[in-house]
Amino acid sequence: MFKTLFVAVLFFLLSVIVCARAFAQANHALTNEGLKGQELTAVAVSAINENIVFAGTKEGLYVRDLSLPGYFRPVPGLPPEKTAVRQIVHGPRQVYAATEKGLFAGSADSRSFGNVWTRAQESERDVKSAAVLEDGTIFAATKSGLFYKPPQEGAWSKAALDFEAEEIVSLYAAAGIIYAAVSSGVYRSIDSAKSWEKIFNVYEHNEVQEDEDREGESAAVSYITGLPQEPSLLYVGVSSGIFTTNDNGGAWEKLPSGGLEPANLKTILINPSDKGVFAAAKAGVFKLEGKEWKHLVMTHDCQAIAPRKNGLIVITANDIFEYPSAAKQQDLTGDDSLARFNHEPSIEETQQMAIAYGNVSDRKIKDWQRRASVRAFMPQLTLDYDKTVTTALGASYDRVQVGPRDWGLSLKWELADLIFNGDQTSIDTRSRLLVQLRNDILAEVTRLYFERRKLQLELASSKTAVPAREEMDKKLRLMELTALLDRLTGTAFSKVLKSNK
Amino acid sequence: MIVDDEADVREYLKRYFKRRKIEVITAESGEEALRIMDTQQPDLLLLDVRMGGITGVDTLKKIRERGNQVRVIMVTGVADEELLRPLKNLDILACIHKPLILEELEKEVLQRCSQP
Repeated sequence: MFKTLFVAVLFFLLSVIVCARAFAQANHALTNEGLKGQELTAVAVSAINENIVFAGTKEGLYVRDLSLPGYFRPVPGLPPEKTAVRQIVHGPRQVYAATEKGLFAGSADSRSFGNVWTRAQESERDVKSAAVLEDGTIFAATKSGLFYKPPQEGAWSKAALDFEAEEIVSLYAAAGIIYAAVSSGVYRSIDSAKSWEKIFNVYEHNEVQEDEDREGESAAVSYITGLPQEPSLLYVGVSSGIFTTNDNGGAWEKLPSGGLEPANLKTILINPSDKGVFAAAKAGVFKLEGKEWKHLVMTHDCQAIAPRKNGLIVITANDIFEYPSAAKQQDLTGDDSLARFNHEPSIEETQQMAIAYGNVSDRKIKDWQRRASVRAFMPQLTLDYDKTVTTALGASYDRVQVGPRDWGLSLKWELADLIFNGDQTSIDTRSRLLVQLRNDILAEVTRLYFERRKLQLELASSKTAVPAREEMDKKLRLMELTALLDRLTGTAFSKVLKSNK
Repeated sequence: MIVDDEADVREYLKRYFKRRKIEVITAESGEEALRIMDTQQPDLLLLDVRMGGITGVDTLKKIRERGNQVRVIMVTGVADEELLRPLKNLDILACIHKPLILEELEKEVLQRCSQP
């Protein structure tokens, strides 16, 4: 008995361990729990653990481990008061958060953060952008200039810049080179900020603002990034478009702009596996495909993106989500994508509703034919009450005799109708018109039904926090299509939708 | 305006054209058509030839006698030369035969309505 009990307990413990491990490895859905009410500004995924996601807001830095249930929690180590996070960047060993109160660094598994740079003066304390070289040299761009700290030195130094009058808007570091983007162009230093060379100049490209409100003004650089594995490959975001070079700034090429609004560009991301180019702009996330930018995710306030597994983490001002989500990826493949609409009337059911409401079913034709057949057997009945008039025509005289009033009944059959009914021609004409009208109604029902279904699938495949104008237009069009189907079915379509929910 | 003594024909034609945003008025006889035309002027008249009461041809004669030059398309189910001969002098746009093909009728109507 004890042996049995021992085996049972052992089995139970093993089950618990296996379940716990499975639970730990489960990927919990990314939501904005823990961030509600805050305005998101930055996002990054840990370089050593893809389940750890950092989110920066106007109030602080938060972290979530997607392998565990839960929500975003504040990262310990930042100031307790509201601290706006500007950017989150990766270093070789740590994660850095550029904030309005300085630069903070922490372990890539988010255990704690500590202040690595701060100043009493606000213009020096507010770090707009940060970058870290492979050797650990940290760069912090502030309103007052660029500061840097090599790993072996304890103190920060201010970089001597020829372009100090211009505020650095974006930093990028790779292969021992630090790049600083200012409004008018991009500078590069190969000696850890001791000297600088301008490698991109908006004026040389005669770029002007695409924004109508700033028509005539020169375009402005807003972002620089590259591919660490290919140091010569760089991308510069300008308010008039995105430029790229594959010779470290020797020659620049402007990427096609079709479909993208570069004036509101926030981030550029290069996929290391296929060098795919993603752009996060206010209207959402775009991917360059050929000569056009495909609008992957529609939002109206996208702030930043970060790569994770085979997709992206996207943040808007109020939400954070994955694109594409694991659930949505499955939804969009094969028949699973249509299974979600099983509760709605099928096309066949909708067509039947329209036929019934329009009174254009085949039953009507059969009814006409049946009545015409019955009528052939029915006599024509005449009933009268009148005087009887009799006439007699003789050889020599004619006699007319008028009798008293009396009832008269006559029955008359058209026997020819049994062979061919005169009504048949009329039935043929009406039948043809009915069939044509029915086909016309069904064609419209089918077109509306599938246009509505396509729209439903489009809306389901994009994720938004607050609907963009385009998404709102689609939702309105969806309502319009539902109403049009109701018109053709006498509201039966919506009634079935409601009753099946 | 559709003039036909068969209710189903009037109804189906009316519904078909209404779905194409073409306003339609109907009359079940020549007499009713004449009464309606005292107060309304349709852009085009689809007039059935064979009807109870006065025929479509006689209806059209009366319309023309009143000086009304409304555009008319006659609709007939039979090729009766005797019945149709007077139409030559009554300024009609076309004479179409049943069974009606709605798509073709629609093209005819739209084409005629768009002409000055």
